[in-house]
Amino acid sequence: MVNTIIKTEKLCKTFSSGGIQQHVLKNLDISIEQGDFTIIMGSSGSGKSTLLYAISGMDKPTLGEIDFAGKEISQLNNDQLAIFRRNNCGFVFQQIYLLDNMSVLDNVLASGLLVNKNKRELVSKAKELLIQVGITENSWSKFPTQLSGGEAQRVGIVRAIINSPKVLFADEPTGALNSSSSGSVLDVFTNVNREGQSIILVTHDIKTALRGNRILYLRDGVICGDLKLGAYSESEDANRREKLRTFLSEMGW
Amino acid sequence: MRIRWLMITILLIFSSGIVFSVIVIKNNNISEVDLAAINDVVKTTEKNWGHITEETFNNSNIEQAFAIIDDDLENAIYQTRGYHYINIYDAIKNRDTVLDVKHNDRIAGKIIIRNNEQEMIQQAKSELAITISLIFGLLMLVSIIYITYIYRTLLKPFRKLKIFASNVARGNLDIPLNMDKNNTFGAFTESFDLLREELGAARQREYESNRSKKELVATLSHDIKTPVASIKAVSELLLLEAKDEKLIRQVNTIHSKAEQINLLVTDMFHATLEELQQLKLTVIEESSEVLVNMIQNVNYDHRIDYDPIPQCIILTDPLRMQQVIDNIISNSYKYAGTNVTIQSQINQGYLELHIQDFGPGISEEELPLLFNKYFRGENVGGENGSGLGLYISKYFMENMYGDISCYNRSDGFTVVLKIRLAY
Amino acid sequence: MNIINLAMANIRKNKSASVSLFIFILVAALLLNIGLMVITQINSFFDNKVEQLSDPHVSIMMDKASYHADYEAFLANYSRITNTETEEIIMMGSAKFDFGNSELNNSIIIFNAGNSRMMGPLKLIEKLNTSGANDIYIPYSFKTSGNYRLGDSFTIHYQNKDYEYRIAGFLETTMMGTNNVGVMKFMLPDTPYQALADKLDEQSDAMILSAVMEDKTQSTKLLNDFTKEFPQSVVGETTSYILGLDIEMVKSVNTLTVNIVATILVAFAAIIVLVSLIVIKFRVSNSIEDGMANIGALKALGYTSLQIVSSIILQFILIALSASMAGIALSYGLMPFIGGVVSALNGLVWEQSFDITINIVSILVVVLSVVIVTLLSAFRVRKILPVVALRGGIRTHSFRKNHFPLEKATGGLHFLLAIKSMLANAKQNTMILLIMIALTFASVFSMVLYYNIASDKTAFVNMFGSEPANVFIDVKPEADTREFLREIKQMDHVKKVNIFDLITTKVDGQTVYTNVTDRYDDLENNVVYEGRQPTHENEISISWVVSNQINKEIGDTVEVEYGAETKRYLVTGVSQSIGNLGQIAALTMDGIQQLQSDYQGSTLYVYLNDIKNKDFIKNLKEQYGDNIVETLDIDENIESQTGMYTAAVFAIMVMVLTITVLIVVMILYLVIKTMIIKRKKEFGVMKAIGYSTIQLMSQISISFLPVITAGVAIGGVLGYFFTNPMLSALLSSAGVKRLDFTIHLPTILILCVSIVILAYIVSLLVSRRIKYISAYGLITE
Repeated sequence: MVNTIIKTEKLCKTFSSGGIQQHVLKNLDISIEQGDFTIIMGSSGSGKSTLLYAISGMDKPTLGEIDFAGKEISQLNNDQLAIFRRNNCGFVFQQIYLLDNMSVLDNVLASGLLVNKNKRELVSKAKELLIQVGITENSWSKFPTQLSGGEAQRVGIVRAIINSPKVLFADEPTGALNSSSSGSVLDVFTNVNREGQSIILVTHDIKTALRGNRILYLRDGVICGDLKLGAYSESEDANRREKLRTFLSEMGW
Repeated sequence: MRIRWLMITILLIFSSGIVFSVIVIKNNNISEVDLAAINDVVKTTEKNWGHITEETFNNSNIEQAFAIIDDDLENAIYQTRGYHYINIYDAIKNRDTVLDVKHNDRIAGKIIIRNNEQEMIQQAKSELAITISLIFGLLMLVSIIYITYIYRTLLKPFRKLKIFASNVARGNLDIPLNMDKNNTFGAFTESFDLLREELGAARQREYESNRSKKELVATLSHDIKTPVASIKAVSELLLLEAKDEKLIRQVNTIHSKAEQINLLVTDMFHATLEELQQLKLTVIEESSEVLVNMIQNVNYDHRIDYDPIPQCIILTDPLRMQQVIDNIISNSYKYAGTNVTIQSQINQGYLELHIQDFGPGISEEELPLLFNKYFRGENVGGENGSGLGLYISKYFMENMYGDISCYNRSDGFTVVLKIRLAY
Repeated sequence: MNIINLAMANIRKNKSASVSLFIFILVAALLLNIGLMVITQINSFFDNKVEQLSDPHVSIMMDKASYHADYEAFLANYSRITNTETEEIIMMGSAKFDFGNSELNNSIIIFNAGNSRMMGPLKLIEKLNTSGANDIYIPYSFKTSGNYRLGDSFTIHYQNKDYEYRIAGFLETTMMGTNNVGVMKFMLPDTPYQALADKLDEQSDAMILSAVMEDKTQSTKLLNDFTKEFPQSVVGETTSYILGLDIEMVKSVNTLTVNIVATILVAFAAIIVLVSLIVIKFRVSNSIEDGMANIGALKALGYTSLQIVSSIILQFILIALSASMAGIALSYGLMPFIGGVVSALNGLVWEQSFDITINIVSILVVVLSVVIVTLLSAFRVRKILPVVALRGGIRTHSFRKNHFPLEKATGGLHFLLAIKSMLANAKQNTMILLIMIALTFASVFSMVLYYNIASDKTAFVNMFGSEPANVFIDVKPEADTREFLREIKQMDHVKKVNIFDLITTKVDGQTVYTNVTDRYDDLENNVVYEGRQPTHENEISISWVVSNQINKEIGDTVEVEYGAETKRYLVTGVSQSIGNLGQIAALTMDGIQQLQSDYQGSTLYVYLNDIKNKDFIKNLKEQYGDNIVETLDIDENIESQTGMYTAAVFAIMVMVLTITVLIVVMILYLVIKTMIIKRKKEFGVMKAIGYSTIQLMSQISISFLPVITAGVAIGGVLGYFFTNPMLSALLSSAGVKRLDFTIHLPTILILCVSIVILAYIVSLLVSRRIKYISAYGLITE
């Protein structure tokens, strides 16, 4: 029995520039299942990131409703959204956006302390997670600028999951990384997902997309393809790759 | 929210206008007599008694008019402009100020300072009038600005919405609804525009599905004709061979029914084509310059050389004309594969375009059949086509009151388009 | 606690920005605190001193001949009198002594220090340990502005005799401690007192009646009632006199100049605080914009707007608090200097008390202003969605316009790019415009003050009501003044000569110093600020002090008493004067002759051309020595009378100007640097496209100049037109009714041009840094 964690109804997002409207998301009805590693793909400008931010409460849809873990979030105000985010969402960005005036550990704690008031427990959890993603103790007091891109992104992931969010959102997490760093980052995602963490990840990189078990393809603000890949396992890599290729070429990738 | 602030502002402006008016009216009391100035006049007069002239009072800053009279109260020794002394009683009647002038310790004359209360009241009135009209003018200005604001933020967007709605109602779905800065109608603006886009997309889809259905019919009917033609041919052969009366009758029936099918299918094909809007024309008068564009549109790789086209007004349907030119040029590319030269001239009420290629041309026997429906030459080779192009081109040209013809040259093949000049 | 961490982290991150903000707030708090302390304490300062020194609230001096026991009885029976005292003193009607660099002519009363008294006992600030036979105690103002030190010799010239003393101590007194009250109080130990009393004639024997009241403010009324009760016959002869002083009057005269200085200081402080606030606003909104991505990240983590805004505010509160505390601490370091100025102005020792209320108020004002400014800037954080913040402020609906599209606009490329960046940064440019306006206004303001007080003192001196002639001649009564005037007029180097007497008359029963001259048009300093000077024999002008005392205005008539005669005069003007207790009236020669028909005047004011005053006086004495009682170098006298003011105000002005220059340079550097750093990325991209450093530098300068020039121009115009009205409005509460400072246009123009040039140079210097940074570095940084 799977639970739906996010369900959108006629979700629209319109931007305007100089008065000209541009409907980036058009009447989307999407459901995301709990525990899934959902990948959102699409050509650039198709509205992938917009969709990600709209359903995660980072942005407000212009029309439509979002049911997130049983809560209607499209009508919440900014502060309610902030509180909602800190309890339910974790974010990983392409540009990483670690707070550059704080150390690695402080970055994680700045997020954790918002929810968990038990500092000692939190610190030990943070350290544990950091070690899990391969950030060793001697890096904990470094500043983000002193880290490599891959390390920084892994810290970013720890920061995102420190509060055990219902869903982890990632926007092109490997977009700014070289292939070896992105491999280590992706492994972290896979591991986290195996532990039951729901993930929604936007990418246009096939290698990243392979990690997901469901691919949504977005074109012109409409979902036009939905592929169930099944859970990631390295043994079936070639098989999955072929399946994904076929799907993408059908979609006109 | 914004409206509330506006209301407060307006309220503020109006109440300050009222307060200001009241203050102005209250403060506009008549000023006191300027004693210092009067004293100055009296003293100056006394000092200069006996030789008072215009210059004596040059330095005086008295505002009121006055007169200096001698002690018999009859003659004015001096009077300023704006004062005409008649007699002392007249002055008293006017409540003028009368002061003694002493000279050598005796009263030598009098100074009469005009009571200008009336003037001052008049002045006060006009000042009041000016102030009040200023205030009202200001209020008017504010109102106008407010109304303009309302117009810009509410009425104008609303009108835009109306125009948009009527455009949509008319089926004109290409005109977007622009968002205005205040976004007065919020979700409406967005929803309507979304609606327009979706409507357009739906219409496009419907159109496309209809079209593909019709195309299917057209192709099918075309395809049916081949077997039917075979039936006809076989039945004709049978007819020649058959001796049995009954058989002949039956074969005749087959033949005539096959012919009937052929005609029906042809009709259906025609009807479908027309429905597909491929055969409708709207002939208008156009400058011959449009031809240049048309040629240029198909001038891939600059393989067309053409002379300047004579300036004239022609009768044409630009869309169809383009199709004709497309067809001829693409045939040329397809079958000749050489460069194309276009010569043009005006000849007997027609603009003639001679489109020449330098390929093999076609055999003389086939030449008359070229414009027949579904005719395809011997040398088509592997090129695909329906054999409809030139047939339709002829149909178009004739319906544009022109003609199309062709001939072989020694070094190639020429198609002549005769386009009717407007007159 | 988390918010504190955030705030601290932010401060650490933007160290240089925090430091500059710290300095601005420090200066603002410093000036505000000084201004507030001076203005609040100056009022009670005088009152406290009166209390502390047990000075009398009313002093009435008269020659012994005029003394009557009824006087004392009247005082003793007057309602709400706490104490009265009568003492014998020596009084010198017109004594001369050196004061500062010049000679001063003033009345002196001398107490016997050996006698004990309840009111105004001898309170020495400094004294010699040894005593001598000719010791004298003189007021503290002799030290602060008279250039005397302990042990110096002090000579009084009285009735053509010199009396030499040694300064054995400086005494502190509120009542007669300075030379602008008309009387100064000295004290002699018993031996020299007796010696002096023996030497002097009877006329110098005098009595002083002193009284202390429950309510000081009633002192003026008491003195009025006294003069009503015992009307004196003020005849022209100086043998008999009664002179009254009340503490309210003295206070208003004494605190007037201090108030002027304090008001100027506060006004300046207010302007600087304002400028600082604008700069603070600028810095705050910049730092918020710079930290936009951080704010976005925080929002993504689930920080509420309130938490983010409060971390920003906390960051600035921390800076504001520490800076304003430091500023206030520093202000205590600076207060002795201000105190010195105050002492110079009223001859009283300024004791700086620690005023916690004022300090808290100053801190509160500064911190609150910073908080409000920060709130205003930080408010937009509330409305921003995290995505928008992460994208650096690009909103869902954008109405940005591409001004001057390069494809269509005509004009040089660099010019167009400069214009584009100017328009694109419209908000920031508005800020810079505001800063430049405020800055230029402050500069012009302090420049005008400096010019008028330090460079061309005419306007400032005129404020005191003195007539800027060169030489004063006291003509012997028996000489024919008019004939003498004609003769002097014939002398070389004499531009003009006026009869300009100062006599005492009674106007509506009030003793008033009254000027007499033929034609007031011939005088150089028109002290009337409303109406006009008298031109006819039945006209009079009075000072606003008198006008208030007798409650008469222009157009009213007043009764003037001189000698035995009384006559009514019409008030034609209200004047202003700081000297002579501000009680001044003016009559024409014809006017005074109504009261005394043979009045011919005894004082001549000579205006000279191309000759030293001393030389002229020498010539005059040689030629007409018989006709002259006394001559006075007016320039020198004015110098000595106003010297203490100008010296004090000069010190303030130097401070003001220094601070202004410092702040101007600092703000220019800061603003331009911030702006360039802010657009670093943009410049990096342009460099990458292939623009050269020189091109970028000129582009930066071009894009700055219009805003800066416009700001300077507007500020300059505002300063030009509003410095005087603003000062008048401010100083009118201090008692200055008429202020007409020279606004020297060339100076202002030079000032404005130099600010623009300075800005240009600073922008060039700052933009030179671009040269050393590669395009890559600029982009990645």
